[in-house]
Amino acid sequence: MSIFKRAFLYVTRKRGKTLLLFAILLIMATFVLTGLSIWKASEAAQLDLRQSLGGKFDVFVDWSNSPYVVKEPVKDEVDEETGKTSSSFLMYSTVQFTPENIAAIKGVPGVKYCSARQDNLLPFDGLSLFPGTISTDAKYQGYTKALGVCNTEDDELFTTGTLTLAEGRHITTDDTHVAIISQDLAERNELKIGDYLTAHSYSVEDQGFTGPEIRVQIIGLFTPHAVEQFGETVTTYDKIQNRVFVDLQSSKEFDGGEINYGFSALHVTIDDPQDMARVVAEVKALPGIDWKAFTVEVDNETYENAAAPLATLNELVVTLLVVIIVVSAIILALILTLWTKTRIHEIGVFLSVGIRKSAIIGQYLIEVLLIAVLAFGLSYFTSNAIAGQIGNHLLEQSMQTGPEDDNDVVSVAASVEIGADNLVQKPLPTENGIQVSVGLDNLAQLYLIGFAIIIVAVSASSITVMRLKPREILSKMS
Amino acid sequence: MPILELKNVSYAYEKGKAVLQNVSGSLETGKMYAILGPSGSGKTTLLSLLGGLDVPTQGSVLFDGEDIAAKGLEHHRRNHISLIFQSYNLIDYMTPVENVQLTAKLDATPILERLGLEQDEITRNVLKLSGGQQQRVAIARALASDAPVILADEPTGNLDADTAEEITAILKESAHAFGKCVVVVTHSGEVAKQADVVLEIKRGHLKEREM
Repeated sequence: MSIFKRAFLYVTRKRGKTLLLFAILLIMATFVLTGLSIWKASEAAQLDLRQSLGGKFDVFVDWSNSPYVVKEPVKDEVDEETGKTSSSFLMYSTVQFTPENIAAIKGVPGVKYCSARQDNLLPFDGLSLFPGTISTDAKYQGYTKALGVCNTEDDELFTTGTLTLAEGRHITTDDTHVAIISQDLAERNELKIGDYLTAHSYSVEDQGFTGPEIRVQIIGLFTPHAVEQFGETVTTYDKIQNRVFVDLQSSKEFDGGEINYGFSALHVTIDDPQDMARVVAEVKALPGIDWKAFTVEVDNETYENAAAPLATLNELVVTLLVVIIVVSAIILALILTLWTKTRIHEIGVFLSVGIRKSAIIGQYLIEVLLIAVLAFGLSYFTSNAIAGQIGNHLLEQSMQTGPEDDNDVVSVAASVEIGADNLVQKPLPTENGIQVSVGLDNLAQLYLIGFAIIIVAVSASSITVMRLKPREILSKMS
Repeated sequence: MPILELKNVSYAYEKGKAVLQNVSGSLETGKMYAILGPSGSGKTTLLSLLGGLDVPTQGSVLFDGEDIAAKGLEHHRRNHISLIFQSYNLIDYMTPVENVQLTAKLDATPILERLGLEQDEITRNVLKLSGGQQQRVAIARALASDAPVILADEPTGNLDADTAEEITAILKESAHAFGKCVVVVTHSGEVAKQADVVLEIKRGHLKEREM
């Protein structure tokens, strides 16, 4: 009679033991499978979180330590009321980022966006602006921000969805004398794509925008995701609808000198915050950038705060899995040891008819595996029923046991600001809990882990009996 | 021609306390042997040594002229020997026919029928059979394995007189009709009377008794 037939006969004829073992294996498998699926969900949530938040770092001129920083006095100003003379200085770096540097940084693996801006506060001829909610110095009334960029598509206001291009096209590196304005500003001034805005370059002599005329053509219109709330304070030039994006060439012309030929700061967004150190190292290794002039400031705090509960959950689940696997193996080994002792008569008979010890252990193994195949299969459904609830309960526990600052992960993420621009934040994976579902890959892992546990348990349970000589077993029988 | 031989076999559980001392002898096919002796005289030990369940402290057991340890005791048990016990030792989750099929080299059903089991009895739960029927199944298992030697340890010990007589007759028939070498350890004089050769163990020595 084959080993498989003997095992099948035992499993089908000893129904009480079979059902008991089935129940034990089902419970164990449910716990293991639930742990595996929560682990997978936690890993997926962490990946999702990393991808949604991304990582950011800023690179800017090291104003304190750079040898390229120049401080030049400009024309003294006399206060009309007091008659006192005040001196002012112009500080700039002779080494700046060029569009080529930006392109090189964008080429580093893992870099999602690299953006830079030149800010100019200037008046456009005849442009009617939306008034701000707080008053500004009379000198700056009618002024708005002209943001000089290489590429608007990579600008953080667009990449985060704070602004959306509604009409026309983005500004690219090859463009000169072009602009993108808000749809609201265009309507207010009866402007359309193809029309021109006119401004003047800055005159150091006059301390104002009295230089040569510069015309930029409107090539696109944007719409903001949201405008400031009622009661929120904003100046006229900071109002989102009043922003004017221009190409770098125009921006330099507005500036009126040769000093600002590039950018003194860059903002880099990366795909995976976990890769931050590598990406920063690779960026620093790029040729053509003189790092004596710049410094890097990494902003990974948002990710680290948001990821903390998931990391805690991950550790918790891994610990639980190890405990479940070890406890399962011990319980199973103990039960099988007890049962093996009750089967000493059978072992004696088998040995007396010449069946090998290895074949007897093999039969026991097949018996448990036959039951396990069914129990593990059913655990797919039981785990699916409970995994989601247990996963989110554990996640809540992880969030409660985390640092106090981590309690409101969403608010941390939502509070990220760059200057006066409130960026739109996507909801985080932790906001609505984690999505736990038992997959076929988890089931395959369960079969591997489960079979390993069973092999260990059956081997351990058979040791005591199998070490006996056949005669000793037959003596025990009688 | 002897099929099993004992050559100067001694066996001791502890040093200095020998159960068997320098025992020699030979057993042939087609004969039924009875081994008699008082309790603790070493009858079952002798059977264990012949069956390859244990090894002698000294000397050797030969099968067809070859030491049974040469090819391994497991090989000897699987191919040369069939064991029959006082308590039948059937597998309780198998039917009679499945018990016989456990090591069967021959068709199980005709053997069971020849030993007097009905068709419905051979597929019944083995524990629902009477003691005599269970011992018939055990003998059928021994015959179906087609081993040349059948070793029986008190095969009639749990049976009433009539059934014991029937079982003894079956064992004798196994020797004579099937050409087996049947060795029966027994306390029973009735069983011994049916044997072709009676061997007696006294103080560790094996002697043939005149009947």
